[in-house]
Amino acid sequence: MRLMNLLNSDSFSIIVEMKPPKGVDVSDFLLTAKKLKWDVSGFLVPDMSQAVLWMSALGASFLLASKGFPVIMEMGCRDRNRLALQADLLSAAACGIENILVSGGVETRYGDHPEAATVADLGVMELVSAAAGLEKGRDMSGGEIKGSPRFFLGAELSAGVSEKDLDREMAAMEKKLDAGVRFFVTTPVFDAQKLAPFMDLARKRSAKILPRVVMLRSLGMARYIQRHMEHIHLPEETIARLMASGDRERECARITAETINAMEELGSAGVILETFGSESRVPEVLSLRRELLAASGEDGAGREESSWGKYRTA
Amino acid sequence: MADKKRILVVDDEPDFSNIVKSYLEKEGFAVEQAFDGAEGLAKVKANPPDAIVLDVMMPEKDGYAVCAELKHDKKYQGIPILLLTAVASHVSSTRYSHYDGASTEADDYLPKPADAKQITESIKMLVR
Repeated sequence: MRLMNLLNSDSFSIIVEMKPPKGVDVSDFLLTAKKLKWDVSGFLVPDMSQAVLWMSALGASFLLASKGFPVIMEMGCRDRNRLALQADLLSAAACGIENILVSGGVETRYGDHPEAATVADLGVMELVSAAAGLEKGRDMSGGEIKGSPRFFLGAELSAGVSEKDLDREMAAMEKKLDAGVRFFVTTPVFDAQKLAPFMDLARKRSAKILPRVVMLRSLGMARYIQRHMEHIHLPEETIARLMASGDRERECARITAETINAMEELGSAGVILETFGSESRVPEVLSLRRELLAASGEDGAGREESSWGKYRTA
Repeated sequence: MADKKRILVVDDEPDFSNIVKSYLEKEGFAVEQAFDGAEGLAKVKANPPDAIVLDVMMPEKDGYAVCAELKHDKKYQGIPILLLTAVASHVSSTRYSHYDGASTEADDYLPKPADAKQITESIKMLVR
């Protein structure tokens, strides 16, 4: 089933962010996807996220798509000029990858190649427009292309903005919707209520929001994120809860499960699970989420989860 | 009388390591020291401690690598690790990324310069 149809259905989509390999050995990458296929709706392949060198999102997305896994391919503006970006969009479409998440990209100074040059030839809005232009059969110079791609376009949303910046972020969301964006992936969020204003706008404009949920795995990780990753607001209560727990690993899984359920209750189409390399723990988190729903007495234990395995066409 | 809990402090700065040692000993811990990652690993394997205070930026083997090696070894993965690092404040000028820090499996983390009292409080929480 196409992602667009999945997000528009009543089911709740669990999409896992799958970091590509840092090399050419793709065996673990593909094995992890295969192990998760019955639990999740698809995968989001980041484009050198955190400014760290990994295999490109295009290559890794093709590997997954060629095995039949639904994929969202992130395309960042940071590293390529307009020629390369348009070329990659055409390649993606030709390889059967239609779900594209357009992003700005983290500055290279925070990654493992801090001396790398930033290209940033196009901004996010320009790249969205370029993709929309290609869909109409024209490149950015107005030249005709042979065969028009079809995209399901997404863009990022800063969920943790302060009150004073909320209007600005909402206005940016409207512009992206006007340009053809149909789904939004948020910055990692722990408090579902931060999404409420964006959800209202998304509903009015028939767009979908996929909040990023960080899969915590240790107090160390939580503290690092809280102190140094400004775009993620991790509440002090979460730290206190982990410090007080006798089984911090399990408590991390519980916090993640609760956050997913809170997003579902708010009405999001699904979530993007940001695993930081802990993909093997996804089944535990999803199992715990179902237990929590059942224990809360929710009718039908929440919306039906869509799973690649269930919707796979022959 | 119960045996003292044993803490291994792995840090390549002897002055800092000695301050941490002295604070922990005042709280009733027995403290051993190592001054690089390779030495730290060898000491853990020779005589597993009850907890480890581990600096990131060290020669021979950095703290992230030591932490990952121990956490992926069934024999040692249960030993709580407190990671100390100045890396995050210098991420833009080192080869470490925020991804390295955020994907740590360390049980707790404190940024450097770390207060020896904070380190002690963390260790007390980790070994209780």
